Amino acid sequence: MKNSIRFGFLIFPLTVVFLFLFFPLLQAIIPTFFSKTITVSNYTAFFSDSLNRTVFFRSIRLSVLTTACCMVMGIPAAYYLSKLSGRKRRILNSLILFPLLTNAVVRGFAWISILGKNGLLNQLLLYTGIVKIPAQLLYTESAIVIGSIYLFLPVMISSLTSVMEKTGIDIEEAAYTLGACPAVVFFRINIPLALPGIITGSVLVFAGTMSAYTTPTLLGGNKKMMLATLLYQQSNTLANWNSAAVISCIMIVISLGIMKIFNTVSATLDKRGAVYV
Amino acid sequence: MYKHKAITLISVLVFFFLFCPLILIIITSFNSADSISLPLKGISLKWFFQVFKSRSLTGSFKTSLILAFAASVIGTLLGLLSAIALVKTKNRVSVFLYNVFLSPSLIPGIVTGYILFKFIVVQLQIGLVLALLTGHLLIVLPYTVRIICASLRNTDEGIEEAARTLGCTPVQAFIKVILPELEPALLSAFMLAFINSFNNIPVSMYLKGPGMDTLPYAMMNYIEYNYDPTVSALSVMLMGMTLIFMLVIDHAAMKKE
Repeated sequence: MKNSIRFGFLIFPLTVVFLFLFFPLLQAIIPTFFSKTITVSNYTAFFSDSLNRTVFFRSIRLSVLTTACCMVMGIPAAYYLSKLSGRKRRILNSLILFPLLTNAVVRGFAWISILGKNGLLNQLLLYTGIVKIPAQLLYTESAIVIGSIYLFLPVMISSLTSVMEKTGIDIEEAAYTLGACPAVVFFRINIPLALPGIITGSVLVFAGTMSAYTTPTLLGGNKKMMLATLLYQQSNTLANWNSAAVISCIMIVISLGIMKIFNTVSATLDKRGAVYV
Repeated sequence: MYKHKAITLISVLVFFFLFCPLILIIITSFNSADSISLPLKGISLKWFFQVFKSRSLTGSFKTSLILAFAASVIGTLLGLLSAIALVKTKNRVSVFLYNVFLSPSLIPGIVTGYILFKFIVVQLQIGLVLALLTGHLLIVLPYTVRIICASLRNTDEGIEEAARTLGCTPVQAFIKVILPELEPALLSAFMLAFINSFNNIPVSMYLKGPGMDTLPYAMMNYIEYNYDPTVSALSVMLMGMTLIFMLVIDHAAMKKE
């Protein structure tokens, strides 16, 4: 087949991506840098508003926290998983994939029913007498973090497992033969070797938490807004399109920026590490 | 094999954390009490029937199914065409274009939704159905292109050449030899596309219109105003759907091995 015919196949899909994504994206974002001349006044105005600043830093803070928690929980779980084999491994693997493929509303709803004012956790706390009145668990930053961890932990685990299972047992055995204790082997052999997976997973978790809409809406409500919820409020409820475009640009810059940073870090730390998202 | 006790303990806790909420939903959906509570008051299926009584839920369920199906079929087809063009030509342009196809997955969903809303709905005023379809096509393309490209790269070029030597035309060789090789990939591409389109909220939320809610958004609305096990029951049904999809994907992967 001629190359020209093959590239003809691309016309329609490329049109979709360029016409309906790249073009409107530029059309929305470029004007935010102009008012008569090139300016960043739209962005300084955005950050001079204290509510916007709170939302911005909350988004960053909660995303960092979620990523850190996913790392702490995901590394041992992925290590455990990578040491399994056969049937048990297959079953646990699909059990981890299962929440990932389940609707985010379902997963958010699960946490609403646990953390809500009349939720299962409060029922338990009241029943056991730990609290006298129902505790406010929902619509807090902790609720958003818990929901986000729940959303993205499977992502972290699966990107870690795919790297960890490639680590040969011989390196560990060599370390044991040379007198290392299990903890040393885990922290000095397994974790450094899993670095590419840790980096890929972290980028995915961070970018995911940063841009998630459903979970912060369900678990944070209007009180604890994140950038995604603020964007929706600005564009849909308030029809403030300039502000919405500014937030869009900020979110894209953060997403791409974090990818760039992690890529650079992984390139300096380890020549094998690169993020393929 | 060396076992670390601490790691095993943490892993068990992590798996518990992952599955406990879903299991709680399943249990409470069979509760006959009027609110989500434990211990169970009695076992009943009434919340499952309740789902079918809600017009907004059943209607949006149908919309979501049709939309996800259409977007996935078109997305898989376009993914196949793109993969043929990208994999068979090896130069810098094809690498660049491959990245172009993956780029929608790098842009936050809510931003894609807003941008599409502003362009398609406000500026172009394209009809509702076409707008939703375009939006969902953008969601599924990165998945289908990536999966089908990966599978096509792994396909032995020799078999196509052999078919050509034995007298097949290029099109015949493709249909008779390459396509069967790609079948598992096409199936998983379709399934993943379907799940992602079906589950999507941010894009649908902006593009939906009167009488055209998608299920996840209708569920969010429902949760906002009602707090009863109806959504639990619906969640259980959706989990069942996910399970079937996973089994199909798994089956496709097994067939490949």
